Amino acid sequence: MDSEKELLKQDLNKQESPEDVKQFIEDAKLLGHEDIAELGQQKLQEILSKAENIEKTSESQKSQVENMDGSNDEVEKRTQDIDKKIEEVKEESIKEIEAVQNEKKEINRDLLKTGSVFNFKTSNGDIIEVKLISEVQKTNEPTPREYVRVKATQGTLETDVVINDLIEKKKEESFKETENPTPNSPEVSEEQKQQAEKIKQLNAEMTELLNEITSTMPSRLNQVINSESYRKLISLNEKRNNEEKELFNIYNRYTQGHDSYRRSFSTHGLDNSDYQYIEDMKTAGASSEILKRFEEFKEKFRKPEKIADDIYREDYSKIINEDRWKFERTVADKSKEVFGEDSAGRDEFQKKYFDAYRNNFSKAYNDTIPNENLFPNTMGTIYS
Amino acid sequence: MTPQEQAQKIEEIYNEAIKKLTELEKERKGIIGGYIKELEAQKIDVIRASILENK
Repeated sequence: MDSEKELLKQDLNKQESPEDVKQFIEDAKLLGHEDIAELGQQKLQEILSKAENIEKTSESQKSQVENMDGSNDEVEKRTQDIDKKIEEVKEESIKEIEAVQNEKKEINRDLLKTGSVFNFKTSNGDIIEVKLISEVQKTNEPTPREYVRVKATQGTLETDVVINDLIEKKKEESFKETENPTPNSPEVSEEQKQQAEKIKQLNAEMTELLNEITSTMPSRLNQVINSESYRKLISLNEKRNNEEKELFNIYNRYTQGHDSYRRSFSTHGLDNSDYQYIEDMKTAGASSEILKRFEEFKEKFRKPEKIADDIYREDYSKIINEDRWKFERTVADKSKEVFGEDSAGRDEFQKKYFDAYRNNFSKAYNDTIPNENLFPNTMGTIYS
Repeated sequence: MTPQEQAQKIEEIYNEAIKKLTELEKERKGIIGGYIKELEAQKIDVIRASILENK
């Protein structure tokens, strides 16, 4: 099994190039040594940089040597021993810092309880999250080692791990990743426990409110589809669609072979281009009766449909949306109170409930009125 | 070793390394300075010899 020590050693040995330094930091971060890794890297970089500057003979010195008819090869020869010592200081510093970073971070024994969550580096190098499923036990070896039984929080892996191979998770990470941190969980502070308790209460409150609204969704959906405004809108919508189809067929029939002026006729095309279509029809030799159908279309169908749509949307808002908006406002206000400055936590909380509302509504819709179209294609369309 | 102790130890190593490097830097500059002085002295010797020759 790879240990933290081996990993850090490997990376530190290579860290003279920027890529290796970067890799070293990334790996160290994974192991929960972010601060130490950064400090070590920063200090080593400063040492290496200073050493590099010292080993270089300055341009002014080179120039002085040349002006005096001296040789820079002679300078190199004379500074050889010092340069060797500089190299030694570099290597020594790398080794010493490596040794400090490889010091095993003492694990907080208070956390070694069943249910606590740690990271663990597997033999193939993956970092996985594991949960302790046993108390600390000792091996039967002459020099007993302490180990615990762990289970991966995701997947099926279950194994014994020597306690020093467990990697403590950072507190904020544990807190964020745990949706409802247990107030008694050992890895959270007192303040976090209180916050966790508040979130727990808010979750309970919002869940109750969501359940209450969800339970009335089927009846409210039925109320919508049985409303007079919905029925009228659907009826007008169907008639208008049929008329549009007929007009399209007529337009198509008359204008075939006249591609030079023919427009791409569509039901949406009738919106602002009626006049153009009528002109096309005239050019194509349509009768006055046919032209009248085009001219009257707007007044006959689309304006009444727009009015019906407005009335329906008002009813829909009252029956469906008002509760939804009330729910979303409550979630937003309450989560603001509880999460305060933690905007990420607040957003996540709100999203959870907003998504839950949408999912519940979709389910209620599919269960209650699967064949009804609550949003006929007039919805949101502006007819003048 | 706690992270604080690790950080302190790294600081100590760093300070010690910088101290050593600063000394080596002075030493290196001194070596080059010494070489330049040698060259100057050689030049002066050449000039002096030249003056003496012309006398």
